[in-house]
Amino acid sequence: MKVQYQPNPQYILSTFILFFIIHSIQVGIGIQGFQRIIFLEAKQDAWISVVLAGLFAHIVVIVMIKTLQLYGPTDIYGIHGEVYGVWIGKIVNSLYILYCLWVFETILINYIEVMQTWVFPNVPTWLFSISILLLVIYGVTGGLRVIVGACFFSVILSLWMLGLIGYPLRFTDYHHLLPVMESSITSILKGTHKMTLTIIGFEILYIVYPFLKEKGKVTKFAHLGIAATNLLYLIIILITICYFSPGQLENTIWPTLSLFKIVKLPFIERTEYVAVSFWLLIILPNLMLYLWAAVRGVRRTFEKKAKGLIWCFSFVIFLGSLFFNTRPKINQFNDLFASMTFYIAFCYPFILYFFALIKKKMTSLKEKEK
Amino acid sequence: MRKKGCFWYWTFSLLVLSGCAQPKILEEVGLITTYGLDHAENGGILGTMVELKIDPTTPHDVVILETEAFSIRGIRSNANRMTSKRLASGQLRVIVYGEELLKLGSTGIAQTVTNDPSVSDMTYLAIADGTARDILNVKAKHIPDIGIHLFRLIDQNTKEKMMPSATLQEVLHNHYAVGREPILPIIKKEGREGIGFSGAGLFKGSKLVGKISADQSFYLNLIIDKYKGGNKDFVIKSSKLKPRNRRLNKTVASLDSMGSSSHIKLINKEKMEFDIDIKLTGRLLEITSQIDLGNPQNIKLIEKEITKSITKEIEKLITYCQTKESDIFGLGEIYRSSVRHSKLTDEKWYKMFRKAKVNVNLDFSVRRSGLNE
Repeated sequence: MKVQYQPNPQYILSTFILFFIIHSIQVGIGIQGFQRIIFLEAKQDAWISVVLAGLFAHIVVIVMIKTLQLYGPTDIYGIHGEVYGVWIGKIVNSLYILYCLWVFETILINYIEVMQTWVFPNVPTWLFSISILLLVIYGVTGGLRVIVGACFFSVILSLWMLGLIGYPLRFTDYHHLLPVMESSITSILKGTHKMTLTIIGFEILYIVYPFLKEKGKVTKFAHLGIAATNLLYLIIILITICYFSPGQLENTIWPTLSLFKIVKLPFIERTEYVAVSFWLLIILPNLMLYLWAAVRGVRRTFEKKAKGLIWCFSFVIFLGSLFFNTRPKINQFNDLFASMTFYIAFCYPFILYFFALIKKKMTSLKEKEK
Repeated sequence: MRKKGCFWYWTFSLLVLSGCAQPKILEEVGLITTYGLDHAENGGILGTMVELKIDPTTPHDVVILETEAFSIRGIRSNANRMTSKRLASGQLRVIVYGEELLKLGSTGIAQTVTNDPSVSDMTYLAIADGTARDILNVKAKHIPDIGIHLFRLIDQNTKEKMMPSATLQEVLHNHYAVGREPILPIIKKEGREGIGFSGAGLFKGSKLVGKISADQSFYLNLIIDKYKGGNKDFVIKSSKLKPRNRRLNKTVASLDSMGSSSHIKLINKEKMEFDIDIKLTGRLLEITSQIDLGNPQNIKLIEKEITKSITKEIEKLITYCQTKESDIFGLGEIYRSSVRHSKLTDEKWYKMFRKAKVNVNLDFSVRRSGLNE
C-alpha cells in the first residue's frame, strides 16, 4: 500500500465543496436532541458548553490538517500504514472502518426511532431500514461526486427550516439564560463532553483530503464549515433554553423537533411532521459519507473491489438495526458510542499527529545518516 | 440488464405492497376537537369529548361522547366503543378541566397529553366553572358545534388579550418553571344558551387555589404581557369630575387602542423588593362626565385619576395572589435570574413570595380623544 494517493483527475472536487461536506456531515441526528443532554449537565450555561465544543472542534481540525500536510495528498488509511507499519496499520485501519460503520448504525437507528415515535408508530423497523439503505447504496455506488452532490443539496434544501425558528421566538424569555456562569466549570466541561455525538463528523476530512483540488484552501473551507455548524448549534441552543422552562426541557427528548410543534402555517397545521420526514434529506449525506469512508478504507487497506462490499456492509447494518428497536437499547448504544467517539474523534488526532511527527523525524534522521 | 431490471422491479413492489403505514382517511375517522375532563366519583376521570364526524348522510356531524376511565388514553379507547368511526386526537383544539379535578391537583394530565406527538402544543387549556361536562353539553341554536365554538371563543379573546393566553406550551412552561405559576381562563355558562369567559384560575404547584375576575385578568395582562389595541372601562372616583348621570355616583372613562409595556426589576435582594414599571397609552373615547376635554388641564386630571385607579387595582391583585401564594407574574423567575446561586425551589419561593414587596409604577398618558374635543 502506498502512503500517497492521487485520484484520477475526473474524481477531483473543487475545494469549496468541503464546506458543504463538513457542514452536512456534522448536522444530522444529534441536532434533534442535544439540548436536553447538555442542559442536564450545565443548566442555563449549556450554550457555553456548545461554544467550547465548537472551539475544540476547530483545534482538532487544525491538528488534522497539519497531520495530512506532513504527507501531501493522502488519507488516514495511508498515514496509518506509514506510521504503524504494515500489520499494525492494517489492524488500526480495520478499527477505523468499524468506527465508520458504527457511526452509520447510530445515525440509522436513531432516525428510525424518531420516525416511529413521531409519525409512523406502526411501520416496522425493517421497512425503514431497507428503504433508507437502498437510497444510501444508490448514492455510494455512484461514487464520491454523487455523495458530494447530495451534501450540497441537503444543505441548500434545508435552509428554509431556519426560517421556522422565528415562530418559537415569540414565546421566548431571555431570563432563562440568567445568571450567566452559575454552573461550575466542571459541569460546563461535562456538557462539552456530551456534545461529542452532535459535533463529530469533521473526521471525514481525513478521508476526503486527497480528492480536493487546491490543498492550500482546505484550511479555510474546513474551518468555515465548522463555524457554520457552530453558529447553527449556538442559535438553536439559545432559542431552546429561552423557549422551554428548565423542568420542561429536562423532560423533552427531542427539543428541536418540539420547537417545530408550535409552527402553524396557513396550509399546513403541523409542521413537525414535515420536519421529521424531511430530516431524511439531512441524514442521507451523513449515511452516504460514512459508508463511503468505510468502503474506501477496505479498498485502500486490502485493495478489494468496492461493489460487493457496499452490499455486505449494508446487510450487516440492516441486521443491527433490527436488534436496536427500543428506547433503552438505543440509549445504551448511544452512550457506549458517545464515550468511544470522544476518544476517536477528539483525542486520537493529537496522538496520530504526535506519532506522525516522530516518524517523520526518524526517517529524515536516517536519510541524513545515509 | 434484463435481470437487473427484474430485481429492482421485485424489490420495489415488495416495498410498496408491504410498506404501508396505517392510513387515516378523513371519512373514516372521528376527529376529537375538545376534551372535557372531570373528576369521577371512583377516583378516575370522567371524560366528555366532542367528536366531529365527516359524514354527508347525517344532518348532525357533532357527537358528544362520555366515558369514565383512569387515563386520558383510556377515555379515548373507551369512547371508541361507542362510535362508528375511529377516534383520532390530531385535531384537538381545546381541553376543558372541571374545577373539582384541578382543586385535587391533577395538572399532571396536561403532561400526559404532550406525550402524544399527534397533539399540538398550541392546544388551548381552560377551566370550567362547575364541570366541563355541563359546558360541553350546552345546546343552543347559534352553537352548532360546541367544540369549534369554544375554540373560536378562546382564540379570539386570547388574541385580543382579553383572556390570559393558556396554550399547552405556555401552561407547561410556567408549570415547570421555578418561581412562576400557570394561569388558565375560566369558562362559565352564561344564562341558558351561552358560554363566556368569566375570569382566570390561580395555581399553586398543580393545585387550583384561587380565582380572579375577568376584570382583574386585564390588570394581570398589563403586567405579564404587552397590549396592542383593545379597550377597557375605568372607574374614576373623584369629586372634581361631575357625573353626567345623577344616579351614577362614579365616572367611567372608556379607553381604546391601548398600548402597554412592562418591566419587572428586583431592586433589593435581601428585602425582596420588586419594581414593576408599566407604560400605558390609549385614546379616550368616552367619558360619563361633563368635562371639557379640550382643556389640557382636564386631560392631566383624568390621567392622574386613571393612574390612581389602575395602580390600586394592580396592588389589590398582587396582594390577593400573595395570600394564595401563587406567583403568576413570574417574580420568582426574575429573582432566580438576578441572584446567583439562589438554589430556588418552588417550596422556598411560595414562602418568599408572600413576603415580597412590590412597587407598582404606572406611567399612563392619553394620546388623543377621538374626533371631537
